[in-house]
Amino acid sequence: MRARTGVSGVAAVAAILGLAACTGGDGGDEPPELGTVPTVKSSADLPTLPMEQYVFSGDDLRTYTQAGAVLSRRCMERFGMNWISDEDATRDLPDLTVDPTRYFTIIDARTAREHGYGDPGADGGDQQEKTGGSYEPTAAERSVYDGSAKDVTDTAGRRLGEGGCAAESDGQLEKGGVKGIEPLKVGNEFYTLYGEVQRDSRVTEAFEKWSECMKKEGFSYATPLDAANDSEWASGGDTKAAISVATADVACKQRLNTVGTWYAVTEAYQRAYIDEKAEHFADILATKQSLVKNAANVIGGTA
Amino acid sequence: MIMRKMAAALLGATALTGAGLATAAPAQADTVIGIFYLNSNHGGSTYTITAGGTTSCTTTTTDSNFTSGFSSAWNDQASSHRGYANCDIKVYEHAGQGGASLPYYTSISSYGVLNDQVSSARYS
Repeated sequence: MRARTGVSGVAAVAAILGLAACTGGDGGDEPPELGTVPTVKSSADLPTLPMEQYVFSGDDLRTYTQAGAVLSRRCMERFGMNWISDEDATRDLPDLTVDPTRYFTIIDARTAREHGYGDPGADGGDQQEKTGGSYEPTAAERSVYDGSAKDVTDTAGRRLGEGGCAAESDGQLEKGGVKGIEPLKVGNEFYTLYGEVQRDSRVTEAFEKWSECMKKEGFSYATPLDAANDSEWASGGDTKAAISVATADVACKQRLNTVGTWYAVTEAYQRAYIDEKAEHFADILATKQSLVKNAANVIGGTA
Repeated sequence: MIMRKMAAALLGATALTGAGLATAAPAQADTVIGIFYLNSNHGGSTYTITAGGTTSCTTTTTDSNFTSGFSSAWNDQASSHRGYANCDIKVYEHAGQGGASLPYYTSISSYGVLNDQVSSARYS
């Protein structure tokens, strides 16, 4: 009896551990345990998400992009050709990190009052003038760059390698990194978790409370995402109606700490996903660090 | 709409690292040419598209510099975008740049009737 109980106990523990191992990124039944739930009254209160350490920062991306331009030009010049300048290459770089003001829909009361659901960073218009670069490569230059040019030799008589100057630049930047990692697209990996988090009971409960709060304010939305994506805002998220809803939205989130819960569950899922794929993320981190180091050496003139 | 997004997220769970590569040089040292957003007004989760090497779009939209699709998880999900490296982006309802489309935009805060309907894009 005792022995049988012991075996059952071991089996039960194993089953629990098995369940625990299935949490987070692969859609298991047991939701990951929450860490600290922050009180989020504004975007400044949001701690950094676990994914951020794997994503290029603004400075990383600038260094990496500039080094790519330096190496590309260095190669192209050997073939008597020009290529994109550092200034052109780095003029229009994105921020690849999570935008704390918009990842969990609108958070800041002032933004809600002034812009509703509109994006304050939209610069007043969707269709912008193309800025253009001061240098636009010719078709011949592009063919040397991408390696499609045939029978081309450089000033030393060496033939253009496979993949052209793009591949040559890559080879120098990627020294010491892990093949197959696409560092600029690491953020794409976390998309499926965004949906899983919204199905987590702790988030659905938080959204239900938020929805009740919104109802008291006179608005009917099941979730903050429904409010942010209301088709009424398609022609402009900064209308009077949008500002009214956005202001109530933020007030309810603050009152109920909706974003604090949403953040904590997101943090837990990301942590579990990263733990589950520890080797993959170790490769990503090593590759990112190696690329940035190589890029800094190129810009510093030591590579 | 949200439920549909969740379902797609589940279906796309096996394609986590896929896609996002525009049809350009096969280099890994990439340039970001576009970021797509799950929500309108550039909110929520993002999907980054890159082109190989140090590159950019040309100064006109009369040519097509790059094209891309989406991973299965991101098919019919995006609601807004921003273009980079001098790229304007034209989004399409179907894969392979087919079906209904919107004009080229550097940045657009809502696809309107094409919200959660976009399956491919052209960059110019």
